[in-house]
Amino acid sequence: MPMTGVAAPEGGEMTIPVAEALLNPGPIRHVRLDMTSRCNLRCVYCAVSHPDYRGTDMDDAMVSRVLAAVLDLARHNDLEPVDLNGHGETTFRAGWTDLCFALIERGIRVRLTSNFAKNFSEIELEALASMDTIAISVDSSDAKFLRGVRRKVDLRQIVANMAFVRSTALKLHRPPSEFAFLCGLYDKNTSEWDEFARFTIAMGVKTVGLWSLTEHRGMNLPEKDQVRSLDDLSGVELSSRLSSIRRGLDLPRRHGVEVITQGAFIEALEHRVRAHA
Amino acid sequence: MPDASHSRFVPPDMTRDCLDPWVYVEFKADGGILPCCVRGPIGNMGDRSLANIVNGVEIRALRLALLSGRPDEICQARGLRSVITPAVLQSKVGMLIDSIKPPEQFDGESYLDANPDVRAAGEGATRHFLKWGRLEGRPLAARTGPEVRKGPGTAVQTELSVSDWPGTTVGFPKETNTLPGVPPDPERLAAE
Repeated sequence: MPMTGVAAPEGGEMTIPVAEALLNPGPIRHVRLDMTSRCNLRCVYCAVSHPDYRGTDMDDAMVSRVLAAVLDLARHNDLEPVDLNGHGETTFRAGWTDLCFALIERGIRVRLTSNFAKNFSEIELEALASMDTIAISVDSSDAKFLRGVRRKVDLRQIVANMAFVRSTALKLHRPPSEFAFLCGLYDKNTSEWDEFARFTIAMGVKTVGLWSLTEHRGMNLPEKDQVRSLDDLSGVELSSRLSSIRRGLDLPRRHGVEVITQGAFIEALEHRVRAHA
Repeated sequence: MPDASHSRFVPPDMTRDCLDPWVYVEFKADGGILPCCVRGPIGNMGDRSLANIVNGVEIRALRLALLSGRPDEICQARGLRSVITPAVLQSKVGMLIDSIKPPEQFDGESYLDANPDVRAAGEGATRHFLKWGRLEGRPLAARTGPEVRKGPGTAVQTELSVSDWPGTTVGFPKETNTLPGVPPDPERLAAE
């Protein structure tokens, strides 16, 4: 069997051989389309908020190429729902619903990640009501805090949009799209994170996805607007936050809400707290 | 320097529990292709095909680094995946690669009939399908009418209009039905 490997950093012999066959592509399952890298928000931790950031829309010719490529992939690969999102807000691109309908009409399931912080038109609501899943990026159930960190986001608008999508699905006689919340965790939204967990249950979401947020640095924000990664907190700062997170993890699960944490970051942080106790 | 309990630290000779470079494709707004949500592009749809990109030297180098226990700084710095040994990752990837099979209905001669460029190149049908055809949506057999999907992985391809996307200037194959377990619409097939 042909083998290859990577040399050790100091230029030594390669230590872990790898079969060449393992370097081939696997069965493609996850496809993500970033129709735009522009966003309607300017979250304090996001690179999009940098004054020099310039987002772009995928032009129509590229959308055609990408659509063809996705259809080609779907022919011989069992794709998970195609994700629409990326570093921009998909619903911010003019005509985003056309791509959705082009996929959905061919039986390809679509999953959108959105901040849901806009007034949707009727055709947009119809596209949203046709989604497999809508994952909403939301950091907190504290409306004032959310507006401060994500700037321009009105929590009440998110709640109203969820209701409008559900009612549109009823109108179209479609099964309702599932909702998920995606929440990056950092210093300022974890002290009372169990409050957010109660909010997720009340909003009827099926899944909550959590990850340890890596903030974009170098934006020269005032201290009050800055957030810090959990990795940068001391053991003392972490301890109470981890207790809140743990409580917040248990509650949704008891109510049938799936909670997914990306990478075992909570366990790693708990290990650190114990090690420095 | 983060210690071993830091979620963004990968100890020496360990690696990330990440299969994204094998199973994930992200299309950026500018046509760039990403192998995961945190890395830069490994190619661009503007000048290469997707199949070419996911078989390209750039992503093969990334796969090799992960499998060898030499994840680069980007893979190390992102705590979105747990840490495991390279042997475990190799085992996982091995199972993934082994799971790729031509569909039951696959017949080498039919595939070569449907794809004369493959026959002309002298490449084996199965080998071509596994490396390229499954990524390019190649037909499994020459078309004699609308194909009906009979199970997962069976090709269904019908050339229809090119006006499905506003601004489309070139045609692309339109699926009648591409997903497993979803029966084709008989009325639509009849109409076509």
